[in-house]
Amino acid sequence: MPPIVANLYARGASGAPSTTLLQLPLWPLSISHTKSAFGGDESATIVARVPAQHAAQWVEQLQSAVILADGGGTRCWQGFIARIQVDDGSTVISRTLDGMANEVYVQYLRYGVARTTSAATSASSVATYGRHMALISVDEMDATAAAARAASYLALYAWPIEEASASITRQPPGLATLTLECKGWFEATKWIVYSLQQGTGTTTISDTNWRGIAGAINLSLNDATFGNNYSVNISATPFTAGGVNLPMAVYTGVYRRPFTKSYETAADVIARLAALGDGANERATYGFLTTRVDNAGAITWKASTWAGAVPTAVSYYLTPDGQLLTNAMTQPRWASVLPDTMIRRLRLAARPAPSDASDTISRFWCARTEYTWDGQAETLRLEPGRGGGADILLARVR
Amino acid sequence: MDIRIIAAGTTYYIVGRGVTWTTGSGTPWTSSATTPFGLAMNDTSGERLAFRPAPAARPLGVGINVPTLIPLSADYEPVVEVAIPIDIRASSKEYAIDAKQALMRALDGWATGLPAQLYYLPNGVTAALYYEILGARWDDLPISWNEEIARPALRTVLTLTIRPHGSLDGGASSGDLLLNAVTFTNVATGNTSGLGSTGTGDLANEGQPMNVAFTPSATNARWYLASIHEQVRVTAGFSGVTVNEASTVTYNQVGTGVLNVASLLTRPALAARLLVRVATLTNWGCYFQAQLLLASGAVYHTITLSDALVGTTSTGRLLDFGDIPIPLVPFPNHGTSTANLTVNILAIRNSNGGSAAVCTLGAIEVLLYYDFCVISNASITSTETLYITSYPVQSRRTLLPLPTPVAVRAAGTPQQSRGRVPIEGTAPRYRRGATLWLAMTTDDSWAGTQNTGHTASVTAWQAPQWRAVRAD
Repeated sequence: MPPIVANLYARGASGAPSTTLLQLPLWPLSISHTKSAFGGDESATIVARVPAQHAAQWVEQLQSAVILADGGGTRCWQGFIARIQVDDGSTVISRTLDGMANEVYVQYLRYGVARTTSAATSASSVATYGRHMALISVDEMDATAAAARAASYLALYAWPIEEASASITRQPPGLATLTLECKGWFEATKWIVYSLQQGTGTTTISDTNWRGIAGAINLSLNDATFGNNYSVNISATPFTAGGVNLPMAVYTGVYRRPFTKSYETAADVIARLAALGDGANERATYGFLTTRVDNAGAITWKASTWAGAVPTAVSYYLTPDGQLLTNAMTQPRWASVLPDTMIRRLRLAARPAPSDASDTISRFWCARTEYTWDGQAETLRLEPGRGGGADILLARVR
Repeated sequence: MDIRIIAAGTTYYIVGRGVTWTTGSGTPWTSSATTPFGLAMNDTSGERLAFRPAPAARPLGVGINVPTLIPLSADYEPVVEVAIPIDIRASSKEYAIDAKQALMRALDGWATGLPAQLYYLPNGVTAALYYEILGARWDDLPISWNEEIARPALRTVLTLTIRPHGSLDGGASSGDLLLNAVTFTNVATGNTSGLGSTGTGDLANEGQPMNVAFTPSATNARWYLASIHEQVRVTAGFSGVTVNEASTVTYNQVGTGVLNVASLLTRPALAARLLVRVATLTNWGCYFQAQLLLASGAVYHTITLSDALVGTTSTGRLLDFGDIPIPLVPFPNHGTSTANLTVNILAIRNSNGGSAAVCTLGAIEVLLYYDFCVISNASITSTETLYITSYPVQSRRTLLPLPTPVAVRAAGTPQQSRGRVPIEGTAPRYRRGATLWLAMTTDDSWAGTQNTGHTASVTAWQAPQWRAVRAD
């Protein structure tokens, strides 16, 4: 039996995820996902066999919600379908959200002064996928030309980009190979563009109409309270499936002040602030991370204050024979192993017996995990953060 | 030994049992339209060259005259290839060629309909194995026509080896009934039923696909299903405890249980899951926490359900704390009586003041399970049935596992699907000696309302799987 399962939920109105299970059958051949300390649930890929007659329906399922659960029924990754490819043995059709923009602004110069057009919007695309904004920068241009540029860009990119080519693969009779490339929900913060102003006191940037995640995301910057630091408060209503709030960890913290004034996506704002570190010069993690697995000493279903200082407590142990153990010395389900954790390598002969408190050299901070089930075996890659530890790749056949 | 190919509902005998060549359909050696393979064995006289089974090129010593199964690819699912040397006899070469082509079309039936089946019954065995055929190729030599040896009827003989490739496992043609409309309660003292220890199949200790039908007495939205080795629980001795107010910041203990988990000492494949029933909770919602201790040691693990505010209840709620680590080490002197896990359940209010929040637990339960899954977003009413389908039940289809089990809500006579519902985790499988476990909540939440007055009628079947003939 697969050690990881995928459930897909249909895209609802305005691109928000619905609670309706997608009724198209699929038989997974492989499932993989990555989770990062910077962005949380990052990406996932599902390769599956599907009935060939469903190919046309599948390419319509962009932005459908994806929930991966491990073999014990614990949810371990959430996101949405960002690219779909169906290969039925004669044709390969792909469709992607990348580059799609249904609300376009053009930032242009007029006699050396920066200006921005009003939005050129495709209401029908927004009604289908929610708002996917794009901000295009051009040189000297008058307002009419800039507006025309926005309109022409919108005409080209208002809907998902589709490609078709001849297939060079051989598919089993009546079946097609479906590849779903998925992104974690943090990716959806790239769909919204904000105007950041430096040093203007409290700035709240929010968009309650944004439907990337059911509900709203609010990003508030408070310059006044924290002097040279900004407080960043990202709040989002978690995607709800079946009446159940999916556990997402969202960091709320104090960051150092950014230095630029520009229009940026919410993702850029968050990532750039986090890169500057928090008020204590600690690196700051961020994102939507599905949790409910073993962690250092305690597990919480939804870590409302996930992130902050580099963890010191050991969450996982690596044994010399390649086993991964929790801090309770039990084997975790690999699909649910978390990043932003401290991992300690156990050595064969340690004299004196090492203690977690003093033996720091054999520990490393895991910044990113990469899990794959290829239909036969599981592999788990544990990537360290900069400056410590080794990239660890584990594999086992189930 | 008895080997047959069953395609489109017609059985074609490749070799008969013992010296009695079995008969098939159609009239041999006539039109290919009625005898598509030219193999039908109504002809029981004369030489019987048409049926000449032999080991394939890579015999593995699994038995004399047993077709050798060779792993071919992991394309759709693990498949194997079996070599079956046969002769096709016909009254002319054209008919022989027609017969061969008809044979290949039948073996490729999977492309357009149901797969053909390879029927295999070794000597001394009573239960036949069925392998699904996904396709086939043939190897015939340029010098394979022999009209002389086809005497006395001057028939044309086309000698070839067909190599159908198909499922890795052999399945049965009908499932084993394990439970027949057994009533499960929805409380930790009546929500299990043993699946028996006599189920057949090579994989009865590894897990064989199981189909289960659940019909509840009332609507339930979330279903927890498991095949377990043991349900370790404490259901008595709890009393009402006033829960600390939020301002104290401190969770206080509302119940504890000592659970013997000695089975983990000898069964490392088992996983453990903690579920807690809150019988009553008055006045205020609370957050819950579980602490785990081994023997009389310190707390080694804490689980906080910080996003599940458990609302007041007089009906009861089921809290799913998820998988728990139990680091038992099988010391030589670690007897079963000392393999005790202590579970402390703590709670804290999300409010201050007002009337007290009094919590009374109903059960602390640790499942030592093989398979566990959660079926959410599934409001199954009393007129509906929840089907967990792990193998297809379809006429002329071998009972082999589906690549992914499917959960379906169904109703009506005959039962019709009202759509799939999501399975998270691993659907229960049959193992000898295992027990089916069930819990239901009326709302779709990790701390849903568990009505102990609800029951479910459960019927379960398992599909025996065989790997008696396999390459690995």
